[in-house]
Amino acid sequence: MIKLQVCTNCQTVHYPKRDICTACWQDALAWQPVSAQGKVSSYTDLHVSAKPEWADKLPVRIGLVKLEAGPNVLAFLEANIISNVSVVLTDKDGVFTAREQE
Amino acid sequence: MSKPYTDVVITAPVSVPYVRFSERRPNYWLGRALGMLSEDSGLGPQDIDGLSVSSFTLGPDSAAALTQHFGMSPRWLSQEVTGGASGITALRKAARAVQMGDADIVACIAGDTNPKGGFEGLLDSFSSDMSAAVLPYGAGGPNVSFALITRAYMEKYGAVREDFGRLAVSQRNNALAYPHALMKKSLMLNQYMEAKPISSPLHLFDCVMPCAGAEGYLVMSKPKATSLGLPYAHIRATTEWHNAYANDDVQLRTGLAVDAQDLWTQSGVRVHDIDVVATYDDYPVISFMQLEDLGFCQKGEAAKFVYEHDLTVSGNFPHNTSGGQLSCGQAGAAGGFLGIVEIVRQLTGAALGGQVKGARLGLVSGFGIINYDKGLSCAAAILERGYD
Repeated sequence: MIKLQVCTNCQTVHYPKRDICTACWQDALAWQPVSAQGKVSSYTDLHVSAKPEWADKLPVRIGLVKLEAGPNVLAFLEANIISNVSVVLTDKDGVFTAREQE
Repeated sequence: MSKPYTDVVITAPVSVPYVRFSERRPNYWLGRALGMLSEDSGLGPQDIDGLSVSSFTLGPDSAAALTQHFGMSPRWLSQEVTGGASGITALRKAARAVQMGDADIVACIAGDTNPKGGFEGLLDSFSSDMSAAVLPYGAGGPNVSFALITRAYMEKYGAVREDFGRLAVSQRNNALAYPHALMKKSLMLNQYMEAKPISSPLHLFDCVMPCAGAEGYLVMSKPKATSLGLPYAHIRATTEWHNAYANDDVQLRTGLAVDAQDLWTQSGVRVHDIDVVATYDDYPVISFMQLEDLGFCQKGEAAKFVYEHDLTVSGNFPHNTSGGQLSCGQAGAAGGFLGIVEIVRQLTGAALGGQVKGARLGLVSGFGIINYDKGLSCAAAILERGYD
């Protein structure tokens, strides 16, 4: 499980951080555990960063993941993961990494 | 459907020549656009009673603050926040203001500066979602978001890199005749293919070069433009959307698809009547989507369309005839004005580079604000060469 904002009024799951629910406009958003499973919609190997601190870590593979819980998230992908692969996410300080579902 | 734009025209297209880097404030670039508008029209600060400003780098200043910087006392003021769509969203507002009498003459200007290292700072302040959900992943900025979109588009519709390359190459051909393009050298398809990777599948020539510069135009009544002796273009139809198709998993269509049919109906012309087109080309895939969503070809068939057409100034589908941002550079929000300024020039026979002979009808579309996973704003306008 990963923790995301869930509307306690209508159960809509949100990412990135929101201040009101995008579905019902109530402000009843609570951080709750949701499924960490999802599917890769697309991916990229990043070779050039705007920030020098990334220079010696590149390239990195980044994916767009459609979570079963609803939202799209970006995540670092473990090697060789491509589109349409089912993945499970781990969250470290709000940064997601995806590995292939077993 | 929107009401017609009666007797409102767009005129005096100006471009403040771009430079790669500038330590000047955006106030300078925007102010130079006003200066050029004044030189072209003979109008001064006392004559212009409406101001529309589009800029990403104003920092603490706003359009209101700029009125004092520029010695203006307008009775109508707007700050556009739609980036790549701002050239058209500014026109929509300004045209209605003139039509309804809230302003007589609106100066629409867009510009940004680009100090060394400035792009990195711009990324950090672009949007809270970009900061929270994109930049932690290698700080690739919009390149990452658009790489994800480009890959998904290629996988869904079977487009390959060469398809995007043809667009980039044809625009470079156009740019070679345009004096303000920062890219001065020809580009061959093999050079496009062999360029260094930025964020796969995007390579160097898929990405625009950040730079400093400004663009602008005036909106006024037709009688006013006539009395000033300014060549002008009419506004036949426009559209604008924000955060359309919010639930798409990946952005493979823009909001232009929502009501393109209405745009054509309102304009009273058909796709095949259009003589010159400008799409927003921050990345080639975004131009592809606009061509599809506007109905120039079926969804997913832009690659075939680009292959089967000649997109250069003298070709059978003149597109981004000044070279677009891919060849001119992206002067921040001015990128959202580049297309409309060029279309007005083409329709008034005043191209600075290659002129599309006899261009009477032009279409310009814009796309902007890649907040997180999707570009949120889009807009389009169909313009027609001035007539009595």
